[in-house]
Amino acid sequence: MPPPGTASVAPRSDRRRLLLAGGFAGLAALAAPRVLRAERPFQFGLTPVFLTSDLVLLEALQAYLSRALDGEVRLVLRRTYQEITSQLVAGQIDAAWICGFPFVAYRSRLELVAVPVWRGRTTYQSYLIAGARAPGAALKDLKGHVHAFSDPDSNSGYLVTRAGLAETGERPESFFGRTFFTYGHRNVVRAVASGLAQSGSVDGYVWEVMTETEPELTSRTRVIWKSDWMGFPPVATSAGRLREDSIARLQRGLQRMAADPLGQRVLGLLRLDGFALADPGLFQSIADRVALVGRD
Amino acid sequence: MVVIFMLAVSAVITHAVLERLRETQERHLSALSTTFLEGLASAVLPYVLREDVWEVFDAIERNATLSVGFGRAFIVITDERGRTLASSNPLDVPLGADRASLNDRFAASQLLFVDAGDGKAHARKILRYQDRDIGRIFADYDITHLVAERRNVLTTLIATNAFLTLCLAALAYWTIRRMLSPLARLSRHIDSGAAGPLVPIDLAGTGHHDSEFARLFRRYNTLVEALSEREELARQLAAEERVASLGRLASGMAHEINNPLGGLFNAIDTLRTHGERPAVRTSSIELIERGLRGIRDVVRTVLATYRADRHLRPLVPEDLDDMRLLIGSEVRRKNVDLGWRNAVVGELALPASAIRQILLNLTLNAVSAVAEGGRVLVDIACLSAEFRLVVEDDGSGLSPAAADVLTGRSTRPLLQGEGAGLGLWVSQRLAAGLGGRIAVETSAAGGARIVVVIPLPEIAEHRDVA
Repeated sequence: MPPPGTASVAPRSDRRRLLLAGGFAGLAALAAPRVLRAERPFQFGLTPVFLTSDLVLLEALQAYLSRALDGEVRLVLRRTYQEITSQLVAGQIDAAWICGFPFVAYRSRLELVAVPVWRGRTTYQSYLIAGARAPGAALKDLKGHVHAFSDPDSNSGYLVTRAGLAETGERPESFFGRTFFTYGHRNVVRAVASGLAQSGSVDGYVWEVMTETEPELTSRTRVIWKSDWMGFPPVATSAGRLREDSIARLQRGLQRMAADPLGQRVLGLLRLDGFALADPGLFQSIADRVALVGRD
Repeated sequence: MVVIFMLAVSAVITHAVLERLRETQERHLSALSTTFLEGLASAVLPYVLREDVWEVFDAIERNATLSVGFGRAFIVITDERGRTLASSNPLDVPLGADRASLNDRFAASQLLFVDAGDGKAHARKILRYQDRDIGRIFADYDITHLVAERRNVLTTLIATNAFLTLCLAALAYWTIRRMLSPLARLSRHIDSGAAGPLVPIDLAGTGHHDSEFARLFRRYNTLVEALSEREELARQLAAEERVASLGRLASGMAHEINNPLGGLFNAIDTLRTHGERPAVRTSSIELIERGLRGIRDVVRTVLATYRADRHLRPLVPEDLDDMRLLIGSEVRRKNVDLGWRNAVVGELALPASAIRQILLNLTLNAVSAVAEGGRVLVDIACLSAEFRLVVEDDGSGLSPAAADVLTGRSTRPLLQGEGAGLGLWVSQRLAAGLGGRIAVETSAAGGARIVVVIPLPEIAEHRDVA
């Protein structure tokens, strides 16, 4: 579960014809000359699932990874999980911070590199949130709502709610009055806080961090339900590449991040403790949900 | 008047300025709105096409600020059926809310209208894609600051105009007052002249030595001096007339005394020659006595007339008959047929000397007006409440100028020509002083008929009636 819903200007249907906004266009331009050379930069994909569109964070992360890999690292940002996942599966990018849901969905074609450690554990929760004064304490209370999802490939921002409804034989289209995707957990909070949506499915980690960074937004929402603990969105690479030198360096770099000043700065911005190695079994509960909703 | 005019002018100017300001504000707002909505439309168009609620909302969120001073616009974006896709305040206008009515507020092709009452301007933009309506943007701008600006301008204009109007009105009042102050001064002098002597204006205090008013003052002073000289002249003439009439009187009196003198001397001679004869002596002494008595009467009458007493001595019939004696010499000299009727009985509460003077002057004037052997009628009567004196003759009548002097239409004595002298003038002044009036008519005999009527004081009237 990668980075923040920021440069989300490209519509899904038409993305190749549209430019990436601002800083990302700059990053792409910097990378372009390198592509022409034989030595291709390491491409690290980020999904818009985490915190902010903070360029400071992106710069710090790129600087740290470049040093860890001892070579140029290019951060690849896309609006949706789908785009990053398909590029990762196709080997177009070297590694990516993805969500547990696509990791489980493409389990056979992906390898686990590292899992973030947040508040001492490698798991997180999905939250259902509603307006600060809205009633309700469970998913069933949200019937008929205008509901905001994060991303159709997000575990916490879609799959958990979808699976929760599937348990009672409901589907989002019929249970909710209307649903829409915001392609970013922060946007789910914004949608609910503004009243555009009456409720939303959001990443618990993102919501908790936003209570520190943007309390005026989260204070207008209320968590009405929390899921069980599930594997934190991992950093993954294509199957079979785990032993490659660059991936090994990435893995070591992520593990040592907490011991490095620049790494600490990145982790500080992300409010994470560090990265750890983990067993794919961490994502079993997500796999169970995938099975429940019948998706592959 | 000036103030009302200036208030009207300032009201018109204020209205014009405000109207102009309103037009400018709305033109400015319209241009801003068009630019803003064009930008927003191009941002949201693809999302409206796909009904991507979040992106439409996000675009509104990022674009809702119109420009400096307008704050955040309230924006509603609907699909082509008027259902809300997103609004800048979803709590008020939630997703899916029917807002087709927003469109009905606009006239056919209208893009912006201003509702100054609630401090809002309403704009719309029709979203078109390949010549097809796919939705609409409605924006409500907060224009309270524009309304406040208008109100400030209005307040400022009113305050300024009121201040200027008051200042100019005060200035105008002061200026006109200052301009007219010489006239007021002249008016005061003329008024005081009516009540008393005319006084020249002191030019030293005017401060307008070369102005039109200074010239006016100088002309007025010249007039006052001319009038003063004329009055002085009239006084001198009156004095001279008095001397002249004294001469005539003395001459007449000498005549009156001289007439019997011859007889007296004859009587003395007769006495000297035939005094021993008792009959002669008796008749001569009687003759002398009659002559002396006549002389005594003449002297007494003159003394009574010119005693210069101005105090009120009641008039008695004898006072009037005395006058017949005084003019006797003139009457006889011109062989005038004098008709004399004095119907006054008893005392009248009128100043004897003034009445006698009037009677003497008018009678002498009539006698001098008739030809040798002419006829003069004097009729004195006391009617119920007035004393009436009529003098008529068969002369050639009074000239109009002389008649004017006598009736008081002209206030100055005639200095030359017929009726010249102060006799008529003095008579008029005396009669006027007693509250009476003099009328000049034409006598049945052909000459002038002068009627003097003097009202009797009430006490006298009672006495008269009694």
